[in-house]
Order: sequence, then structure tokens, then C-alpha cells
Amino acid sequence: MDIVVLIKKVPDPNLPEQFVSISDAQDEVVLHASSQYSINLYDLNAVEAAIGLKESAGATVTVVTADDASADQYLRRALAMGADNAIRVELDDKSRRDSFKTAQALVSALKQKSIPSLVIAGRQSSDEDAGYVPYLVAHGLGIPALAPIVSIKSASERTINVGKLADASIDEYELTLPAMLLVSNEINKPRTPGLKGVMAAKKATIEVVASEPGGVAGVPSKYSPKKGQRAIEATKFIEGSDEDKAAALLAALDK
Amino acid sequence: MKNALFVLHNSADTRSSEFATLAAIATSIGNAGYSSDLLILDTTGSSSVNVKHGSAFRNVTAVAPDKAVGDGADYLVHIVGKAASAAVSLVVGFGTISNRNWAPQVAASFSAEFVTACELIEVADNALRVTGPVMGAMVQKTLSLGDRNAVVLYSGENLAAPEGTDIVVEVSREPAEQGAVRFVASEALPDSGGIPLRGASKVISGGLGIGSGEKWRLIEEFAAKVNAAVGASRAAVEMGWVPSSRQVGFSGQKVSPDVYVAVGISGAVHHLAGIGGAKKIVAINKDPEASIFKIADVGIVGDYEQIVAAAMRKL
Ligand SMILES: Cc1cc2nc3c(=O)[nH]c(=O)nc-3n(C[C@H](O)[C@H](O)[C@H](O)COP(=O)(O)OP(=O)(O)OC[C@H]3O[C@@H](n4cnc5c(N)ncnc54)[C@H](O)[C@@H]3O)c2cc1C
Ligand SMILES: Nc1ncnc2c1ncn2[C@@H]1O[C@H](COP(=O)(O)O)[C@@H](O)[C@H]1O
Repeated sequence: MDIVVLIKKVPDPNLPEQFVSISDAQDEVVLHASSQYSINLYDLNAVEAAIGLKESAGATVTVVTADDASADQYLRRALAMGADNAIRVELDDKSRRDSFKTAQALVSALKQKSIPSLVIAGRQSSDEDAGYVPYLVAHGLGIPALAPIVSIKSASERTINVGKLADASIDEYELTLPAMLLVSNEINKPRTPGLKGVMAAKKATIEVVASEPGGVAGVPSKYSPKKGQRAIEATKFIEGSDEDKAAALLAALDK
Repeated sequence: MKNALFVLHNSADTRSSEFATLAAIATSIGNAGYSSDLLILDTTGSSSVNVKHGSAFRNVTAVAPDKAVGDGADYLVHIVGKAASAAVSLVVGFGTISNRNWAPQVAASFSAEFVTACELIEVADNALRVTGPVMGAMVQKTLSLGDRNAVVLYSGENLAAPEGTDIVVEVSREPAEQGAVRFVASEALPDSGGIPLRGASKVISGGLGIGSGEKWRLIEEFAAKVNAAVGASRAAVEMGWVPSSRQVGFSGQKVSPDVYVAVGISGAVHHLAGIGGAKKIVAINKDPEASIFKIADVGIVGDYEQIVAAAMRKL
């Protein structure tokens, strides 16, 4: 099986709120210069799922990101986990913040190769929180997509059976390949790469593909600070013994 | 004149506030020149649906599949795709897990904007403006749609129903086409039992501060004693103490109970994103500086084990 995993560099999801501000023109989210970045956490689950399939059923795993060279370290991390190849689709920062342009760049790069049998992505990225790029990519490749995937039950050359989270159940689906899966964190625990993998990944070549993101673009976004936090007049702190505190807790619960 | 299509799952759990909210949105976007139709996916098995406030819509249709389709997500890719192909410029549904599967696929096929968790749909200058959270709810993003098509999943507050009357529509069978995605079977989501989170009027949520799976039982027992639903932070879910069906927050459920009690939860933005609608919040945490106290009405600083045990003795 020929698997492509889509990964994305994102600001550290645990960035302190003070590091996040909005430009005067309200057209950009500005991060403090010392902000850390990471690989989108769901994408680590996507890499792990692909490597799991490689180990159980045999597969070639190619990780792909659309970004500039600052994202190479995340491709190398996926290589260190066990991916076979890495491709960076060169994409400027502005286009990368546009789901349509990002997807066009990914689609045109993937189409230059043969269409993979399986594409695995994260269910959403922790900066855009959109969960849209993989569906745009699937549409561009003409393949079906399903989300959020919480288990892989079995796979063959032609089909894959997965568990999809629903509102009150986990539904099993069989997808005819090629297909796109968007995975959720319940699916696995991503492995920590070993030293040998890390050393090998350092030397690995990352294929760089140019992109000309044309076509549709998203409408411009305007940003604003999150809605004022829940309005409370003042927190009433309960002093006294544990008994007093327990009484206050029960009173709040009408007990 | 533009056309909008609203999509609603009607199951035994569907609340009248859901009908009211969609009717309210349909009425308000009428002021921006949209005529709205409502498409209902009925999974109750009955032959007709009583559509509350149905007169807010131009047309209401209800369909049911001819065989099991799971949560209907893939089925709706085809049904909504077909219905939306006739000059629809806006599709609106709720931000449920099943909608988050068909909605972006329908959006992609129309090169439409897609908003996963829209909290505000406004009419401004004769066009629509939609707003939702990004960056784990630290920032809000607003799109002015202009002439752009959009698929919007609403997860904002319940809205009051506009004036209007209920209508009854017959459910028609729409066959599930056999595509590349085949539904096999459903299994119930693991759940710890007790009062469901959705719609609960009291919620007792535990976090990493609970300490162990063993101790988690105290949360379950206390919740049962005070007739509350059990909730959890993602950290507690990841520890395997409680199934993910109980997760509250940005990537879990949004709750709006009368009383929400957060026990051993620090108050990360992702957690707070799920509890903004609570009428009263009580926080129990041993760290007086925990962020959860910034949004709590009642703050209890201390070791939860002692406090909850004392409360249990009083009941
Ligand atoms: C994309 C994304 C989505 C996310 N979605 C969600 C989500 O939907 N829901 C969610 O909850 N999180 C979510 N998170 C995770 C979130 O950022 C936090 O990591 C998580 O909420 C922390 O859980 P916690 O408060 O239980 O744990 P911690 O932050 O570790 O807090 C534990 C608290 O317990 C207190 N404590 C310890 N012992 C005791 C004791 N004996 N008595 C009283 N208090 C005690 C401590 O003082 C501390 O404040 C998400 C993260 C990301 C990146
Ligand atoms: N620039 C990118 N390069 C590669 N994959 C991406 C990129 N942006 C998004 N993705 C993939 O799409 C998923 C959802 O992202 P989003 O649609 O931005 O929420 C991510 O988890 C990635 O798997």
C-alpha cells in the first residue's frame, strides 16, 4: 500500500494567551517572537497510524507538508518515527493560511506522482481549527473522505475498515481505496522515535516541490480577541474547614 | 434573492430548542435576501415529523434512508449534495460530529467557505458575516461572505423561536446509494452510564487532579448522589479514567447546565470553551492561582478528596 500522510506545522497549542495578539488591521494573528511551534498533534496520530499499517500490512509511507524550510524538522521527526519519504511543497506563509491555496498546492504536488492508495490527515489543525484542507484535497484527488477516525480494523490492497466516531456510537465503515482518512487522538499513542531513527532522519533527503497556488482563494478573514470570558461579578471563595467547604458545595447544588 | 438550505437530524434526542434556533437563523438571514428550506434526516422511524416553527421555512422535506447508514454522515454527502446543487448559496447545520463529515465535503464540491464551529451569523450591509473560534478559541475569526457560497455549522447559543407555527411533514424514503464508503455496523460508544451530558442541568467534571482511575469512582459516586452528569477534561479522558463521550470542551461537548462543578481541573482555554454557557460554575482546586477560578462563581481551594468525602457524608 502506498500511503501519504499530511502534516502541518502549528504554533504550540499550549502557547500562553499573552503571546497571542491581533494586528492593528485585524487581518492577522500575531504571535510573540519567542513562540514555539510544533507538529499539529493529530498529525502525529496520522503518522503513527500510517507506520502501524506499514508494520502490519506492508506499506510505503510518504509524509507531505506545504510550508517553507522551517517545517523540515517536522518532516524529519516523521521520518525518525518510521516514514520512508518526505516531501515539502514550497508554500509561502500567506497562502498557507488559506485552506483553498494550501489544498491546491498539495493536490498539484500529489498529482505529479501516482495517486496514493491511502491519504491520512489530522482531523483539524490547532491553529485554523478548520478540518477543511483534507476534504479539499480529497475533492481535488477525486477520492472519498471520512472523519473522525478512531480505529483501523483491517486493511487490504483494495479496502480499509475503520471505526468512525459518531455522536453516540462508533460506526464501522468499509472504504474502497483510494481514500482519505482524518484521524482523531483516540486512534493511537504516537511513538517516540529512537536515537537510530533520529540520526538517520537527520541525513535523509527531503524532496522539495514548487507550487503555484492559483485558482480559488478564501474570502479575507478578520480577527478579534475571543469573546470576553464568562462574565462573573466576583468569585466567592469559601473559607473555613473542609466541612464548611463541603456545605457550600452542596448548597450550590441545591442539596 | 439567494437560497439557503438548513439540515437537521431528527432523532429521539432532538430538542425543541434545535428547531427554534434554526428557525431563528432562517428568519434573520431572510433580511439579507435568503429564502430558506429545511431538510430533515429522520431517524425516529415514524412516518411524519412535527416540525416546530416550520413555517419559518419556504419548504420543509424529511427523508429517511432505506437501510442503516450509521450517523448518516456519508448518506448526507449525497442527499445534501443533490439538494444543494440547485442554486443554493448557503448550507447551515449544527456543529455535531456527524455534520462535520458531510458538511466540508459538500463545501469542497462547491468551492464554498466552510466554518466548523460558527457562533454568530449576522446580517451586515445586506450580506452575511459569520464568526467562529480559531487557535483553540483564543481568537475569533470573522468572514464577510459577500457573494461567496458557504457551508456553516452552528454551535452558538440557543436562539429564541421567531413567530410562526408548527407544521407536519411526511417522511419520504431516499435510497442510500452504494458509493465508495460503505456503512458496516454501529457499536455503542463506551459510556460510564448515569445521566447523559447532553442537556444535563447539573454536571460534575473531573480533571487530572483526581489522580487515578481508582479515585475517579468518587466523582462518579458523588455525581450519582446529587443527580448530576459526569464530565471530564481531556487530560482525564486521555488517562483512560473516563470514556471520551464525557469530554467537555473545545474538542468535546459544550454544556450549559445550571450548575457546573469543576474538580481538579486547571481551566485551560480548551476546557473553558465548553462551559461558557453554564449558569453557575463551582471550582474545586488545591492551587489558588488556577485559571479556573477566574471564571468561577464559587471557588473552593483545597484537596478535593477531603471536600467531596465530607459532602458525601452529609448526603
Ligand atoms: C487542540 C486541542 C484541543 C483540546 N480540547 C480539549 C477539550 O475539549 N477539553 C479539555 O478539557 N481539554 C482540551 N485540551 C487540553 C487542554 O489544553 C488541557 O491540557 C486540559 O484541559 C488539562 O486538563 P486538566 O485541567 O484536567 O489537567 P491539568 O491542567 O493538569 O490540571 C489539573 C488540576 O488539578 C489540580 N489538582 C491536583 N490535585 C488536586 C487535588 N487533590 N485537589 C484539587 N485539585 C487538585 C491542580 O492544581 C491542577 O490545576 C485540548 C488541547 C488541544 C491542543
Ligand atoms: N500546510 C499543510 N500541509 C500539509 N497538510 C496540511 C496543511 N494544512 C493542513 N493540513 C492537513 O489537514 C489537517 C486539517 O487541517 P485544517 O483543515 O487546517 O484544520 C491537518 O491536520 C493536516 O493533516
